[in-house]
Amino acid sequence: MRHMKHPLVVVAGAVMLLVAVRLAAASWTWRSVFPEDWGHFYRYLWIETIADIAVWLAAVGVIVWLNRRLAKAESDRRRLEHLAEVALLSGGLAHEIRNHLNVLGTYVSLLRRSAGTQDGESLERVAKLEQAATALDELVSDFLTLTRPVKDKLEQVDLAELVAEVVDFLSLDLEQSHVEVRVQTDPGVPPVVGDRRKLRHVIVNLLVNARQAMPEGGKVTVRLYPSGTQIQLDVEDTGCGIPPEDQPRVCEAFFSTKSEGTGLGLAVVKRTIGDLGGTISFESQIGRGTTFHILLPSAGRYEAKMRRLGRQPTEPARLAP
Amino acid sequence: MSVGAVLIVDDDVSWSETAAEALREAGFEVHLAHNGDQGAALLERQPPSVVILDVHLPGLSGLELLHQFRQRDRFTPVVMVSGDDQAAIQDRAMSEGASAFLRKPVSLSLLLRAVDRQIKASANRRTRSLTGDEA
Repeated sequence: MRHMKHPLVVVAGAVMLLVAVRLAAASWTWRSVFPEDWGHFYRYLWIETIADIAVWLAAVGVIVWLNRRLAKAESDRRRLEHLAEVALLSGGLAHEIRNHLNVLGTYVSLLRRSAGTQDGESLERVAKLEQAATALDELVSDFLTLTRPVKDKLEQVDLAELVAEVVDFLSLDLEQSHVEVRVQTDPGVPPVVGDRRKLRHVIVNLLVNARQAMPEGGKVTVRLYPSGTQIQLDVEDTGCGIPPEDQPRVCEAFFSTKSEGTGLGLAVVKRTIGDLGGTISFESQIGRGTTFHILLPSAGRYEAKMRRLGRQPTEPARLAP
Repeated sequence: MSVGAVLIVDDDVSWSETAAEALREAGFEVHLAHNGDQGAALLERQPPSVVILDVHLPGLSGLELLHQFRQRDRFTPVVMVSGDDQAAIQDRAMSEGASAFLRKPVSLSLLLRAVDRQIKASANRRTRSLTGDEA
């Protein structure tokens, strides 16, 4: 190419050419219909022009909109591809880390044996090593839950029963932190479909988060009720609240405001709920508390949806014992 | 006559001895183990009424010990204790079949309450299971 013309020049040229062609076409049309009456030609030209502009604007609008949609779809696709790649790589990495952790664990316990019971200082150091290794192991397993699509054991789960179990398990822990827990369950809430272990993980996480948000004690309320064809689970605390600047990142992996904790808890929760066709949201006010809302399709709706998608409804409709 | 037997498996020797003292005063028979393998041996010999089990133990870890124990005994309540405040650990403990969780430091009054409550709850569970109420 010898030289580039400025795009504006090209556009202006094209527009002028178009206008000339339109003008010629209009006057030719007019002359062939009303050869004697040029008095009304200008009015006709006005209408033509306005109609033209409208058509052009609409066309440009549609093109811009389509373009944006395409660009977004493309970037989503790229992002997903990228994520899948990262997941694959990091999953492998996590397995590697775990293998080495096992070796580390074995040698640390050998070290403890050789330190004997007399050397208090060494024992303390070994204990620190062990704690770090366990923490790392927890981190890796949480991470693997996030990256590796584990085959879920789906069944109908009675959330009311599950909530009661978790609250019973955590009751001493909550008492220890002077946290009063209240459970409000609508009678006859239909079951949901899910992996029992993972759903329990969700409830444990939300309750432990709530308790951690109330270091001075407080109240946590768990509500379970039907909402249309969905089941809603609310966990409300009277804790410190989440600062507005942190709110968008709360469910992101590795985001944590706590010194302990892996920052994976809520990311795993979000993933679990999302996998079951549910949603998680929250509202929070500094100094007043946070409420998490979880919406899950009822088992009936979930199974109907699976059938519509041509997939097997997870299991024969049967209540978990 | 003791009101029950408690096994404490914890590598924190001074805490477990203080706790044992308090439990003995309350009328319990107390056994102590300071690592996982010792704990496993004691559990094998004679299952207590309640187990207080540290998550981080030298040798066999608390969670592994719990897992092994639950293969043979579904009912004996096991209270896990840990200094780590992580939902993941509590979740693991619950899925391995622990009955409750306490965070270190554990006050003696809370420990007594925990043991008391677990003994009552386990009696209820056993009765329900004997009368066939439990699936």
